[in-house]
Amino acid sequence: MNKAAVVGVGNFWRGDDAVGIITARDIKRTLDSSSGARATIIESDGEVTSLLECFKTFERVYVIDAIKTGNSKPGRIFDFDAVKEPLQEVALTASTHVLGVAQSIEMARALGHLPVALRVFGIEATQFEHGSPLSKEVKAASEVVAQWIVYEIKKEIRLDA
Amino acid sequence: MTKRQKTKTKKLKVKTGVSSTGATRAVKTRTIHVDTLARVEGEGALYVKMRGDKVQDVKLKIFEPPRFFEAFLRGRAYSEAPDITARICGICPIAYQMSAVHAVENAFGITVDPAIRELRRLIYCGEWIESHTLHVYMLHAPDFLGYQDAIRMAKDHPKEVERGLQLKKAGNEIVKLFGGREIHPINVKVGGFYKLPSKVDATALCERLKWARDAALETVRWVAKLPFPDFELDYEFVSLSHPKEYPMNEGRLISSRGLDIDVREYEVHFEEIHVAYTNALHSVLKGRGAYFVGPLARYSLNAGRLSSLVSSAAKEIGFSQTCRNPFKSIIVRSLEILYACDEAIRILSAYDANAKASVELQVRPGMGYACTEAPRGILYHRYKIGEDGLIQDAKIVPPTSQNQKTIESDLRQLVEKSPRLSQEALTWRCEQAIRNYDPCISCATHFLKLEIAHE
Repeated sequence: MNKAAVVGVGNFWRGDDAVGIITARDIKRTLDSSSGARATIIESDGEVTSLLECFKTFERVYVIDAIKTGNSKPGRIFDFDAVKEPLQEVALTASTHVLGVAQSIEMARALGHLPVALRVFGIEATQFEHGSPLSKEVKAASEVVAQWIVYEIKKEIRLDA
Repeated sequence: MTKRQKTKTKKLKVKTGVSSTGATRAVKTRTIHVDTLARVEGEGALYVKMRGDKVQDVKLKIFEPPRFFEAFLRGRAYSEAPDITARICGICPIAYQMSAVHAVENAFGITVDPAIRELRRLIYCGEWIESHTLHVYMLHAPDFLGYQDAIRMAKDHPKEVERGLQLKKAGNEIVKLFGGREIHPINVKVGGFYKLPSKVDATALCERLKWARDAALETVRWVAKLPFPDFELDYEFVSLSHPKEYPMNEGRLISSRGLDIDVREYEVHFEEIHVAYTNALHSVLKGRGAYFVGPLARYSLNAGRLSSLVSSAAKEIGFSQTCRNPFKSIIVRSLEILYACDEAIRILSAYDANAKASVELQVRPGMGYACTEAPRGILYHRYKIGEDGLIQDAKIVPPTSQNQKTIESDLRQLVEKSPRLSQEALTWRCEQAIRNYDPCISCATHFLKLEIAHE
């Protein structure tokens, strides 16, 4: 089984919705420029079968996505250990798509396809304008999450060794 | 994960009122109000009001905001139409691309090579498999088996859900190989394709589709055993019809009540009406009213042109060539998945990677019309193109707007025929009746007609 994957979810052209993809690319740049730690970087639109395939293929998966709870400050980082506990009902009903990231994770749980470790980083978004860049708060959060995941990947490599 | 937070709530109200005549006799008033419909693409709501056993009002409200795609197209190059319109829907982008390229080619007077024609049919098969499988397994089956959603269903029916997910993936793979990516494909252009994949990749895909075809047959057998309410209506079915094949990209528009027209006559016979309570236009057949598009219509008007494998499967489960029960649309979708797998294997088996990917074309000013069979029914496009190749005017009519009046009519009949169902059971049944149509609300709200009166 492959080791680690970082999955950036979102639409690159829709403002803060791009945060998953931008963070994943940032992680790739950092890992490529250092020796040792490696992870497969996946850019995803959140399609259910692709996500399930990823959960089945990799031991450790880090998912990054924009989230809008509506009652948190822009840029707030939510960190879920999706193996330890199910995603909250609000996450299950918040998607505008018929099956989104949260549903894919719960579907994987129901079918017994969760990886050994599955961390979900949700970043509170504030705007989804077509063609606009990340908002200042979300960009700052993206950098924090990128460093965090790189640290985790490097730590796991040390533990494996 | 999310752009807008959405909470799915259901208000269940039963109240007793006094009849409007002022009589002292108490008349039971019943209101079914679902604020946000679950397991449909986009945002809509349902409102049904009854007085006694009679339905007073039914409203399928679509509050997904209008998206103005027809206006976006004005002033854009003809070559942009397939990619711009594909953005209307993440579930059926191929349908938009197919209607767009056929309409532009109709304006230019182009006929594509037979090989390109076959590959367009192939990529459409991919979309039918993806879209129908998602609906059959993830959105519709939970209704019949009594689950709130597919995740809860998966705990008790893991084998079936796994099969559905793998089957959907097979459809994704067709779209990815020939469209460049799974969602919002980018390889379709006016005149054909930008690039064709290798024979090796096509052969590998063909082999995987053989598993998908077996899974599709199992799907037909599985859905045939589901419990269906006894509910049939005398619809006017409308679909494309082609003399030699089950319709996808070409054919005349026909109906079960004698309509038989060229696609360019669409607007002579059909019109869109703005209704105050919804952001999506209602389509009607002029002088006749509601009509029905989608798998049930397509199947009932064209069952004789399905492949022998599909006809045998229909016979095996005792399914007739006409179906007027919308709840059984899950069976028709499953038969169409089987057909799409069978048809994709046929096309891939004869695939020539050295064929010309596209035909030469010359811009010609004029009007172009096309109608193709999206998974949910006929999708009409009309473009007016200038000498400079820019689009001057566009009209797009998606299947969900065409079915809206029929959905409301179903709800009216269903509620009146089910007076003994509890409020909760009736609400569930009404939601299920809407999901029979697999409505794509995002598609239906691409345009809002604005009228400003000046005095």
